[in-house]
Amino acid sequence: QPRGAGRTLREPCLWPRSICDTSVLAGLYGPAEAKISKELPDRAALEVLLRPKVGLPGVLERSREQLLRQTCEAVVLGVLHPRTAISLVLQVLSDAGSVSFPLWDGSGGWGTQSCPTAPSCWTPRSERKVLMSTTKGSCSVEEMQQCLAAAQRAATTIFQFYRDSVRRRYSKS
Amino acid sequence: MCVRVRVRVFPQRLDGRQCYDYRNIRVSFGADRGCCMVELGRTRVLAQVSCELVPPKPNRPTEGVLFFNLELSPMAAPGLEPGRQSELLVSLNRLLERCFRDSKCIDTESLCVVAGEKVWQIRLDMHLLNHDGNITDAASIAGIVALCHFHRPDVSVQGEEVTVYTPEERDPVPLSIHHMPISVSFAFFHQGTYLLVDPTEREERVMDGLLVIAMNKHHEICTIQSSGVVMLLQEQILRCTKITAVKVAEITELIHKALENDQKARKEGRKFGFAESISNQRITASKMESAAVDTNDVEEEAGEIIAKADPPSEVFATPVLHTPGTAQIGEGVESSWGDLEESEKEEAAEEEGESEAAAFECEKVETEDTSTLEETKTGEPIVLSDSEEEDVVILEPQELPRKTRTQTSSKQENPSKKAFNKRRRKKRTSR
Repeated sequence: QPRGAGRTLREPCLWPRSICDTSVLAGLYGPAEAKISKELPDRAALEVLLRPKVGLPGVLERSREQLLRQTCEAVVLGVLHPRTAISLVLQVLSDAGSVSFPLWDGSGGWGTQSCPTAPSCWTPRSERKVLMSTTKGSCSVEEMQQCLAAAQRAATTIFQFYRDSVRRRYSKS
Repeated sequence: MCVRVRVRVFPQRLDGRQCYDYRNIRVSFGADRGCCMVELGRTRVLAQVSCELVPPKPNRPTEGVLFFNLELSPMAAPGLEPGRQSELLVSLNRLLERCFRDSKCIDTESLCVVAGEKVWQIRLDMHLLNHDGNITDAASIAGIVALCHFHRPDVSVQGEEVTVYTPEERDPVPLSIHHMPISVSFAFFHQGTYLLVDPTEREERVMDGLLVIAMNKHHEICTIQSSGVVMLLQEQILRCTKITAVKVAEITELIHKALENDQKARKEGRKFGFAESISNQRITASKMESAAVDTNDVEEEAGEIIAKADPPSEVFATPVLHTPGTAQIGEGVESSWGDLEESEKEEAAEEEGESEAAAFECEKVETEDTSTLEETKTGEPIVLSDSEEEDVVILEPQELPRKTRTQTSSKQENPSKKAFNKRRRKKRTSR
């Protein structure tokens, strides 16, 4: 279950996720009543909105939204809340490269790794399986596998960070 | 015996403020120039200024172009829909435009590069990140702070040649700002009996009227707007302007201090940006130093995975060039769609046949007709038949006789066949 899912409607989890100079603000609402046009009878409809800092959302934002939505749908237990809508709103605060990292970070508690070369891959928490990978440009099979292996390794560090953060947040002392 | 205790209730607000108190204002700057976030209590507005060289408007060839836009993203409140121009959004945008543009706080003439050819377009994007009332004030503060913080690239004009310098070549120059208009909102209750400064979202919901006054620190009113159902007396407005003057002086001082601090941090080379201003202030914030990913034996690991995996298939497609611009890769497999349809139809026809023999006859004719056509389709190029005969098929004699037009000319064959199938299916489901 992603972080913040149990929050009330008026309390979005508003904290920026930053990596160096790139930061993204995430807000999660729901499960709430869905519009009839978006309602799904068997599971919750997940809606991802990515807002750029300057101007209106364009094709790049749309494609990123799509990637995020498809991956999040695989992770969120939407079956528990049929006929509802979960909306995830992401606002880019400052973009200094590899926005995808905090995007993933902001969108919940699952792992993310983006490589500085062409491919970006994301691995989930428990089994360290690859959830999604996307490439731009061409790369060989060896390079792809290398990136995946590096991503899996980096994911451990990030999951440790998540665990520490959550422990700190929910510690009584 | 009855004791009456009279308790005098001071008008106090839900969050414990007095009538004329402002919520806490916090200004933080992003890593980019012209990026700032203003928190007014729990209302948050992010502002970003950007610039671009554009041709000027034909009626003002020597003036730069200003563009203001406030976005109410659904992050602020779930009720706000993206991409919809609600009444609230339009009125807020108009008010901010009046506050910034019509008060002439930015010197537009200094944005001119070549008269009639190129001027700077300054674009101010504001995003509401959290809605807790008084969007106007938060946006006006965020907007003016971002404009003050922004630096545009330096430009030099030599004859006909215009050079735009990168930040490395020449230091970017700040915009010339004449004054800083800051708006202050007043909410009126009980037909103007009670007055509150800086209403929260809950107070905004129950207020009778709203008065917004934008003023600069020289006590000049830039914009004044009253909305809602409240008639204001002259004294009330005068009193509000006096309060505004005090508040604006305080806020202007705060803005100057924030700008100074940021300037100092940038000069000294300290860290700045949102990440820096937010971390370590709360228990909810956690931080991790940058950690290197150990990629020493990644190559071996990748090599192992590839070695274990099945080798890729050895089939190499050799493209066949028919004509320039058209190529064929591989051989097509015979379509199985036609077979499926046929069996389906026959099945349907059998069902049908049990009850109505007459309909069955028609059906048989029809299926045969189409199946022969499909055969010709999959096998060899279709021969255009020039017969334009029309078949009339009566499906169920008991019901209203339905007519299906089957034109044998190959182009129109497909849609009519589909339509026919649809009808067949419908009938089956209706049983």
